[in-house]
Amino acid sequence: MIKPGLWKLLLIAMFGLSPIILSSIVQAQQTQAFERGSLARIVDQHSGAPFVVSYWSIDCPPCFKELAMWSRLSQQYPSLSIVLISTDGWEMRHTVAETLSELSVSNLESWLYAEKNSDKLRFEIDPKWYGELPRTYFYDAAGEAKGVSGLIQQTKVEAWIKQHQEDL
Amino acid sequence: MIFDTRFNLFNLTIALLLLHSSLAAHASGTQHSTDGNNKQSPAIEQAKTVSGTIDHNGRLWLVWVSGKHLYVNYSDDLGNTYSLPVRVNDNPQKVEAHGESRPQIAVSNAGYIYIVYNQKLKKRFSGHVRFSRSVDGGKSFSKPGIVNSDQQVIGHSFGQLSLNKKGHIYITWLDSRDVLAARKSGQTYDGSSIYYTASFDGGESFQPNIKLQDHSCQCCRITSAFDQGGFPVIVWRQIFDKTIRDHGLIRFTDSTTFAPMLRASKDEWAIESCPHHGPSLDIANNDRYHLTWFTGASEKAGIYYAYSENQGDLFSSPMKLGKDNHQPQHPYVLSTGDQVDIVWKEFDGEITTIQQMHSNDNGETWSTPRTLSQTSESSDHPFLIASKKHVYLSWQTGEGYRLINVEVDAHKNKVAVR
Repeated sequence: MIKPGLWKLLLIAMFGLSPIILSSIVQAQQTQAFERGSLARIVDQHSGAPFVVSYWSIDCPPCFKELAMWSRLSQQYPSLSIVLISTDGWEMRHTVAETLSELSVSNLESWLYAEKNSDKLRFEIDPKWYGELPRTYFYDAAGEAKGVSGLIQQTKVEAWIKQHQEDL
Repeated sequence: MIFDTRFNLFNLTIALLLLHSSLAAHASGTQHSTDGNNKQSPAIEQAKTVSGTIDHNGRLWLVWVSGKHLYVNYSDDLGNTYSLPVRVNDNPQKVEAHGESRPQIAVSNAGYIYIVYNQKLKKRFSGHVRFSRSVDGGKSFSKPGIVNSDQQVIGHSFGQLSLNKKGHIYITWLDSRDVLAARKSGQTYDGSSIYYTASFDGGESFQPNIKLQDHSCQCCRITSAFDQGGFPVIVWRQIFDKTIRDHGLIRFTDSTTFAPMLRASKDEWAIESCPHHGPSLDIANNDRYHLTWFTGASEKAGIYYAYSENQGDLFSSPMKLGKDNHQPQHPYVLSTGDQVDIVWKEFDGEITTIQQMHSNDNGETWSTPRTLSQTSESSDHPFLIASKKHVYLSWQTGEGYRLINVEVDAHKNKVAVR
């Protein structure tokens, strides 16, 4: 097991890459395939601390405003886990990756719908959700989620963060 | 010995060259079979959306997308056998083909076939609304022209085609030109705007683009129907008071004049989001407007039906459709005389069903919902299309395209035959 920092040094030594470019390469997270059961794994992995799961799509203008907000908040509150899940479908993975990097959120954990019948995913996520986007779930440290549809004001997210600061 | 080696090297080079060219041929062959621009017949089964209409001779016409091309085919036996698909656009284009935004087809009594679709451009949220027609019974299609007179690389999308009995064509769509104009003068603009154009000569020429309304929502389909005068009535998701995403209605008072917008739904859904969930409208012989729609307003999220007897001024109190725990969505309404049918989609976690309700008295009373069709695969939105005598569900699924007579008796027969 090589630590990330060591990788960086190794790569610099091997290819003479500039540390600045390299840091962005190392930090960008690979978008993962979101299938049935994926959400349970995400919740399991993050439980114990409050976290945010935000569903978005490249077809949704308000989602772009919200992604810009997650970019700001992730810098402001580095200890808060923000998980982005795109509902666009696996065939759109290149466009999704481009969009994430364009909006400076490719450092966040990212998933993309990879199930032919996406209704199955939505039902598993929340049978009461009709698919409107953006859709965001605020999980508390116990893993209890509250879903909110539509663009959220940053002040509201920050109020929620303050409320759960002790657990972060 | 030296000669031999050279000879062998020469042979080897030839062999490598041959191998290379055969690999190249193979690679290009593979490419051809995926871009839809080849001799191999495109497959309707793989299309995400299929839109259909039945002409006055009872012929079913379908339009759908394979790769970067639209195709039209028809069936004279209501979906048992089909003609070979004919390609609409010769130049490959990215075509919007998902539930809310999809190619549309209409056939006039004179037999002209009209197609409207949305071409996606490279820049995010940008595109053109395009129109093509066939004047030779679907043997060939005109080069698709751009409907939006503003041709900046910005949003022109969700094109909606409708054709009245007189043969007048109306196209409505969502347009970003006013958003851009506002931005250029340093202002903000909520949503998009809704524009229309019309053709009164069978698609030979179109009227100038005219704005119907500012501040439409940006990602829901538009619906339109014709009243008894043959004038269009248009309903779409509108942004009221900057944040409320309910529905607006505009009624034409003659072929080119329209009345100010009315509010068709008052759910007070305050949200900045993309519901991807547009309305459906049809108008009965006695001019009763039948409307179905979705709202996500808290406490009453779901799909609804209501009618209006005074041209959209007032609607009846909304009737909720479907089972709340089965995600009822995408209702579609069609009226024929006093008969009204509504179909919508439900999902129980494993199986998607199409539910149907029927009214014999123009929407006063309704049958209990019943399952008309189902699939465990992915599926498109459900639509209703009518022939002179019957009403059919038109539904694309991961298992193929389905055309199903919605009448109760017809359904019984069908089940018995199976």
